[in-house]
Amino acid sequence: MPGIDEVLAEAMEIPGVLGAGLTDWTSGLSLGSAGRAPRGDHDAVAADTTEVAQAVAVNTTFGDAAGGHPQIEDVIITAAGGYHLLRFVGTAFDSRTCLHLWLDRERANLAVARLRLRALAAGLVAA
Amino acid sequence: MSPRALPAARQPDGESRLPGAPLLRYTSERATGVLLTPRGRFYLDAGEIACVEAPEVPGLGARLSGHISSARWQEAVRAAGGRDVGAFLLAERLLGRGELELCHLQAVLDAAYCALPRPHERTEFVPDVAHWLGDVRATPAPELLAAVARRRAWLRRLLPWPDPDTTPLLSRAYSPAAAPRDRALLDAADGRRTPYQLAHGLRVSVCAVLLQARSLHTAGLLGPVRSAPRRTAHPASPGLPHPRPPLPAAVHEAADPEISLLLRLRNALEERL
Repeated sequence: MPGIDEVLAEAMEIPGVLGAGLTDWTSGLSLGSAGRAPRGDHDAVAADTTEVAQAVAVNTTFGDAAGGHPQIEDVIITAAGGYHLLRFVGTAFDSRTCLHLWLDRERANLAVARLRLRALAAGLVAA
Repeated sequence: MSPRALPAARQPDGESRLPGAPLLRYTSERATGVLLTPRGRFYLDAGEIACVEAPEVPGLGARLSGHISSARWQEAVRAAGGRDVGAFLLAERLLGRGELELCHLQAVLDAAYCALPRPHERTEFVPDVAHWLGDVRATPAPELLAAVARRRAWLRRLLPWPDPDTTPLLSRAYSPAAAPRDRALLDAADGRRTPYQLAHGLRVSVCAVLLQARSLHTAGLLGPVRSAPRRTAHPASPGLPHPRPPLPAAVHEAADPEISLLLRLRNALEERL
């Protein structure tokens, strides 16, 4: 069973990945990070991914919150500096965390990265 | 200044560096034991923070109680012999390692925020005491202190009323379209329960409650119970008298539910002035 460190290490194996992190999006707390961060600041990444996660998770437009947990799976941001993938982690308890990948646009395959990220998030909660 | 506060400060402010000095002392000595503070306990293992507990915030068992029943939890603690319970939960496949680490870290930050000793407060260190959870994921003390400082700064900017974590919350309006998570908070915000108490009831971090409170407050659905008179009303109508201060939260415990409801409605209307 992989823990946070193992999942982040596996995330760094994804082709084209530059950096990865796990964030508590209610508080902006970084629960772990690996690799590089834009401007070298992993805490800034946690804060900014938290803003994005909050912006989508609190709006029913983006997910049918019938189950009490947002049904949003991931958010993809395409920017000049790379791709950013945010995956909402579906823990059994209400954890409100997300897994973030920063990818190089030239080297990464977005579809592959998205599927790998999905598998990683599932691995984090596998018992 | 953006009206939407940053969720985490990039720089902890000077005042926030002061609390937690005893903690840093024992971590620099790589001590093992428990530091008792007026509001909780910090369990150290070779200088790192293995666990933090504070009765005011929900602990690991409470947070997991929607997933692992409290009966099953008690049984697991007993079966593990009251030590290394974390390893036992994983061995029994009651939850995943990642989930355990996540839940543990969130509980630790919440408890640390509450239990961190202020500079003048008495603390006591008891050596060679280990927490029943065992080794899940220890946190270096400076990292935890920095996280607490960021959270403190963020909460001050997040909510526009004083003492946001200790002021009781009151739902103001009926909103049938509210999402289930918001519905749960609105139903529980009875004007008596503080965010800590609401967090206990909802089994989440106080931070999560406060974040939800912000968006519900913006939507006009929830607000703080104020016990002090508010300042002068709208500048465009300087002639308005000061609103009558709302009654303290304790009055909501009026024996007659009709009166209690009327008081709540009156407070809610006054909040809207």
